Amino acid sequence: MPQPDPASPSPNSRIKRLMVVWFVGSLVTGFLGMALAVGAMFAQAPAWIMFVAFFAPATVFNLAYAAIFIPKAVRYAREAARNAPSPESTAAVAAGEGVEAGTTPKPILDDERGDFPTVEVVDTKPGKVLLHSLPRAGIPPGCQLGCVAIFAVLWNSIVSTFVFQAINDWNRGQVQWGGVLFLSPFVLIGLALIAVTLYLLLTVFVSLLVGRVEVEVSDHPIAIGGTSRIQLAQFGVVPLARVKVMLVCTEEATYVAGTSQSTAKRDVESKVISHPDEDPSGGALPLAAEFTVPPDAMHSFTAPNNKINWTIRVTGRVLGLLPFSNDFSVTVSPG
Amino acid sequence: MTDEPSIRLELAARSLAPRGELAGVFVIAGGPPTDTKSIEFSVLWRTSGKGTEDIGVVHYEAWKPDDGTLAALPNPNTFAVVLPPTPWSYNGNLVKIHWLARLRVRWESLGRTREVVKDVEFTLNPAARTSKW
Repeated sequence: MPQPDPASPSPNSRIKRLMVVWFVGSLVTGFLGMALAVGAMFAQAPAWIMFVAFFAPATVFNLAYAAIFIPKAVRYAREAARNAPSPESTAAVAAGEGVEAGTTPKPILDDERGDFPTVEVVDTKPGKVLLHSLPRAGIPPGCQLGCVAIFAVLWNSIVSTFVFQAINDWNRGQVQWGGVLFLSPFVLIGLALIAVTLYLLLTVFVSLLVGRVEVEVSDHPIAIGGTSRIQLAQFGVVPLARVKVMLVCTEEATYVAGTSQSTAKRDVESKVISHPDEDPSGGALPLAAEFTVPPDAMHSFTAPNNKINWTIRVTGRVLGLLPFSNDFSVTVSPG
Repeated sequence: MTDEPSIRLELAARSLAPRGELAGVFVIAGGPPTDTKSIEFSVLWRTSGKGTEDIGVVHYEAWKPDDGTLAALPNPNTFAVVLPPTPWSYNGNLVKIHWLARLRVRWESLGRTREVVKDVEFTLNPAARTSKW
């Protein structure tokens, strides 16, 4: 077995060296460009020559760097990946629980592991009528309103400064169409933020009218193909009417887009548990029903970036007009 | 690449039940390459779709020259791995879950590390569910 040459640098150190070359090169050509631009200014050259003199050295350097060093950097990066521990060897530490590919997982202790790997059981509280009271899913509307309202105020305060400036220019008859055009998308975003804030305000208002809605089930986690009783009750000032209850399966995928992380959600399966048109009380609370999880359904699944969530969705109307919707987390287990 | 080893990874069954046993064999034609750094065999699930990839490894075995295990690697090598009850194979809109057996061979050639990875997919599903998913 030939021994590695100690004089030969590792791929990681070669990548670092390429980055240092780029940094030093950019610095030198930046100063050079600045010197040339200043020289052109003192020589009273036309403005476009100063512009070219400023950017030319850095542009030439970056083009040359891209042509020569980027293929090398890609090769070194691939080699570094091949020299790094394989994703399987690092993920093996977590013993079958999900980890993000390529990251170092925490070892999973025996007492942390349930009967079913990747099936995270939702914590329930003891119910008043049935055994388990389900927790509400998602961020409460009050918190959502707080975050969006703060952002809307900040955004619109900044944008309004420019809008007032544009209005003043307009009043003086000095309309700068370029500026107006540039400002338009920012104004539209500001208006959209106001609309979302108003919608959330309405949601909070409806939640206050409805008060607390409690969902209890007789069995939890609920097995695929299994049956459970469900009980809904309301503790609020205005009665919730035309209540519809559904068992909903939602896929959730977290991904990185550019520099930010986003989460996409999609309902992939829903089963009506109680419909106001089929309920003799017309969907009034309290409500009791029984439901069965479809035998061909997928179990709840939790990994760092991918999830399959099950919820009990309660929708209804307040004062015959205002819509209400709340989701309650539930775990669907394989057996 | 002329020195790339030819790998065969075969499974006795491609559709397995939760807690079932995945049996199979892998062969490196002509034996491991001269300067083999590692041979890794794993059974894992991975996600695909819109989200960042997650993986879960339920079985992992490595043979390396440093610890003397590579010399003891039988070729062909048979394996039998007991699978966990979850997660089941799933083909959703945003989330997909795949099960696979993976063999990764790394070796040194002309001063650089090379690797070849062979994946063979199978499904993990209870019999009642296979019709839909």
